[in-house]
Amino acid sequence: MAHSINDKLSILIFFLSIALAGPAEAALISVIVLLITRALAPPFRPLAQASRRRFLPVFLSLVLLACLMTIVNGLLLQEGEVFTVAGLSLYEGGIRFGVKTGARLLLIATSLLVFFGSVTIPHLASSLQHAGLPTQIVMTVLLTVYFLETIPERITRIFSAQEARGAPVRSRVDRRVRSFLSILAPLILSGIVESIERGTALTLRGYRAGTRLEFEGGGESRLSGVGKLFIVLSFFVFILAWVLP
Amino acid sequence: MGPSVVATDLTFRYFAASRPVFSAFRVNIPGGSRCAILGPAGAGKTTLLEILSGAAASHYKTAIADGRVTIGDKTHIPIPHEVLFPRVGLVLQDPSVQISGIRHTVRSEIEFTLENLGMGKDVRAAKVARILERFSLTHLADRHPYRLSGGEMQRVALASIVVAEPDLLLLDEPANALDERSRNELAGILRSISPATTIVFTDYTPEFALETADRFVLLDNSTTRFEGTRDEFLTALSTFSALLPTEGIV
Repeated sequence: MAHSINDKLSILIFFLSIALAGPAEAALISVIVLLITRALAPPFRPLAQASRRRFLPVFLSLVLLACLMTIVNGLLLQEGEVFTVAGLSLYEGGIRFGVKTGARLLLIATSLLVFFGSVTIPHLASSLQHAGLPTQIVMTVLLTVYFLETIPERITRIFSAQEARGAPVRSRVDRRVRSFLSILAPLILSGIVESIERGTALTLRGYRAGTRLEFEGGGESRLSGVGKLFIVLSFFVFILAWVLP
Repeated sequence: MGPSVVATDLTFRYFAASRPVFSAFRVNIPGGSRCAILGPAGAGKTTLLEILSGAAASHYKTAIADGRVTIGDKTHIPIPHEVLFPRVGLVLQDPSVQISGIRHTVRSEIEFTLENLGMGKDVRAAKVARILERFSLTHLADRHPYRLSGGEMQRVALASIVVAEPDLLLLDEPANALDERSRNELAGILRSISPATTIVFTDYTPEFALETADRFVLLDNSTTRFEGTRDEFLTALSTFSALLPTEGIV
């Protein structure tokens, strides 16, 4: 298991190259490999316990989305043989296209989830800073990651508040969908208000745009042999996709 | 001795607001005092602290201001037009907002302030160690700032400002949502800060202020209803029952 952020980044690039240039079968195998790695790898950041718990529901939602895409494509892309499944006439060409696109999207999302779940924020920030990104952008990335991590907690809080007011949040699906709209507005508003307050708070602690930040454990960002191998493999995937029909 | 704070004929209106937050407002806080700004919600307490810290002019650029604000020997006309940190430090009402969100330990969270001020590593380490001990945070130094209780988080937020040794320390409703134990700890910390720092804090109830402050200002509808010492405030307290919860005190 690679520990340097650049190694992890090169692995991410490799999986993204498969998603963009590889066949659907390779994308699906990669997703399975990522899931096994995810299940076996211990050094996921300890502060993202909540996001770790939510990995499986998010992944299952992505699978559901991929299945939906396949069905929609099977219905709309009318090419090849017709299969009738549960009263629906699905076309072979559409299903193939849907599976291919769904597998690619699934791989992109899963590899990003695993990457961000296995990288500490100081490492990520330090690496971005070492790569020469302006401090303002590094700070924006950090605050965005922080905000994304707090979203599930915010939703739970707003969900409870709406439930306490009698909103049918545990009722039928259609009612739940409608009540979800009442969650979205406070979520967006609270996000905007907090980002303004957070900006004020940083200024009030002497942070100025351009101040170079320091991060704990930010030194291990070298690219090891494993990382270099994955970069070469990524090129190889693109070359193969270009050469093969 | 910490700086005095004088606002003279202060007018402040947010852009597009129907009426000003302050109109010809005056207040005089002696240097080195621990002053409580009391008043009901909407009285202008938070805005006053934002004006004094420089955050108001810096973040509400379209706001209209007039008058004069003097902090120590420096007069700002009409109000401070930039954040005055580290000379003036403001602790926000919600400590979770004050925590940067980019540091993983209480120690490095406090150190972040000193990094922003460009201090060297050794100086930072020494200052952080001192403040951790002073604020009884040493045992929490390696904990994540967001994995703390409300009272502990409030102490970290306060420490992250006090570590810069501001001459004027402003706190927006610091005792809000704290249990009695945390409130007592906070009161002890504020009392332990030397008169070299002037402390101004806001609250909507007088209990915490009576434990901590030696100077009282009562705001109502953006005007000063009372300004005086602790004894004067206690004598007049019964007349403020419409503005402050005074049950059990009077």
